[in-house]
Amino acid sequence: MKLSRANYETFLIDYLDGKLTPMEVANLLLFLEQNPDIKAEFEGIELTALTEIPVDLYPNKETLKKKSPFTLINHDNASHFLIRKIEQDLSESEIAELDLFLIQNNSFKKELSLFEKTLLKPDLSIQFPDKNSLKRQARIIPLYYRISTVAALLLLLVSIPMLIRLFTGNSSSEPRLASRVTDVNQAAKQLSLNGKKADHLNSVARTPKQIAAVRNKLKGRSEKTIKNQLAIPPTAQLIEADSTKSLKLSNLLQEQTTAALIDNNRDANAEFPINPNDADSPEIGNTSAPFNSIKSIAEQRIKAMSKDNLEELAAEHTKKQRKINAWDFAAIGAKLVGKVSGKNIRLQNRYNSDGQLTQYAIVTNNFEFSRGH
Amino acid sequence: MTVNEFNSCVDLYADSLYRFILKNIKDSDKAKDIVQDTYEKLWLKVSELPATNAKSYMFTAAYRTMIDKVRRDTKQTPLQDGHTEGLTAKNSFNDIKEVLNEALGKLPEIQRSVILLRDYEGYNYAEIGEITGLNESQVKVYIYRARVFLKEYIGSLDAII
Repeated sequence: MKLSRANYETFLIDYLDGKLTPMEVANLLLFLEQNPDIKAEFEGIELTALTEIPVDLYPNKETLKKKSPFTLINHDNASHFLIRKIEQDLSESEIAELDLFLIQNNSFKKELSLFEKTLLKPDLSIQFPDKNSLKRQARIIPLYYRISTVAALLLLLVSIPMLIRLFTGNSSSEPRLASRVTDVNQAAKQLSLNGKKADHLNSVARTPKQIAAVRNKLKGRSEKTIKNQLAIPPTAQLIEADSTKSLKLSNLLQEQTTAALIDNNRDANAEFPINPNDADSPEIGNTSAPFNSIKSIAEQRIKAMSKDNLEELAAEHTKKQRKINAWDFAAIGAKLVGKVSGKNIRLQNRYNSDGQLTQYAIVTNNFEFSRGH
Repeated sequence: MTVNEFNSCVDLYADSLYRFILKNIKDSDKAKDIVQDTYEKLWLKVSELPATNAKSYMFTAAYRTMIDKVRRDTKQTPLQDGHTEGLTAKNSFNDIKEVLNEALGKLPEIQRSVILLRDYEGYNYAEIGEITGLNESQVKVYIYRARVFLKEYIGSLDAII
């Protein structure tokens, strides 16, 4: 493109930007000499060219820079690394870095030597004066000691039931009373059984003489009444009579004593006409015996029980008393816990209609635990 | 732990335990009492403690007994980390060991304990933490402060001598 008055502006801008070749610059300068008005315009434009303005330096530019892993140690943290060195707590790269730092900063070498001096060494001359006093001997238990220990344990085991009975003696009155009631009930059952047995024997053994006696007694009554009376076995009256009386162990024992006295004076006592041939027999209603009174039959039955059944019942009762089960230990434990805790913890034993113990229960205010059927 | 292992612990650790306590409280009678108490405690645990844990258990027990005893006996306010006694050198010393002993006595109780456990027994930071009831970072901080104090103490004496 040839320089002319139509395009000289482009050439002038390129000149200002330094984009013209030397030939183009020479042509431009010649053109300006030939056109003084354009030359005057150009000189004014040339003054408007912006030059670089100097700015103030940021004062702590270094602090903004991130440190590379190889420039961790500086004057501020050198002590930290020196201590870690003597603590043997530096990694290999940190050791290399520190060594480089120490080469560049000799003043820290002295500091390192001071830190190395702070390492304490134990004074081996200081020793515990009497080490043997701290030592222990293995325990050798002599044979007699072992034997005496076993004997003491056995004695303790033997004495535990006695101790338990001693401690629970007052509180166990309820079970014992229940046991007595059970015994009395069993005695009553036995009595009833014996009575039935006697009734059977009496009914079978009623003699014509006895029938005649009944007929004489009910003379003038209707035949139906007499038959009914004969149909009633004599012991049924006994049972009826006995049922009106409360059957208690004390009564039973009293009657037992009475029976023994009667037994001793049987021959001399005319009030109780028992056949001498049957004196040793506990059975009643012997065919050869006369009709016995209700009282005499009862006495004989009590006597029979006193000799056999009551002894067995007493033995069984004693056996029951001696038998200790886990519940007895639980009772002791419950008492202790109740005393210690101050709470109402009690044991309850439950019985059936026959007075037999059927269920155990621990009862507190909040819960109840029972065992049995 | 068997009785023989217990007695081996006496042979192995009684001296170091005694030194550790003695350096801390500077009272040989109390140090003996603490060592005896420590072995009594170890004997009570003899059936349940394996022999490998005996040393750590004993140093822990001894340290805590010592702290209790010191706090009970000397009803003094414990030294703070600021090293209140400063770095004044009063005595002349024959060697660096005496200087260090002097400096050690000026350290706060906890710093003295951790640095003794570190240097005398070679425990790592975690083990020292277990014994003293500190975490690992606290142990490092106390060791750092103790080292700086000892270094400055030695340095100041060096300048004087």
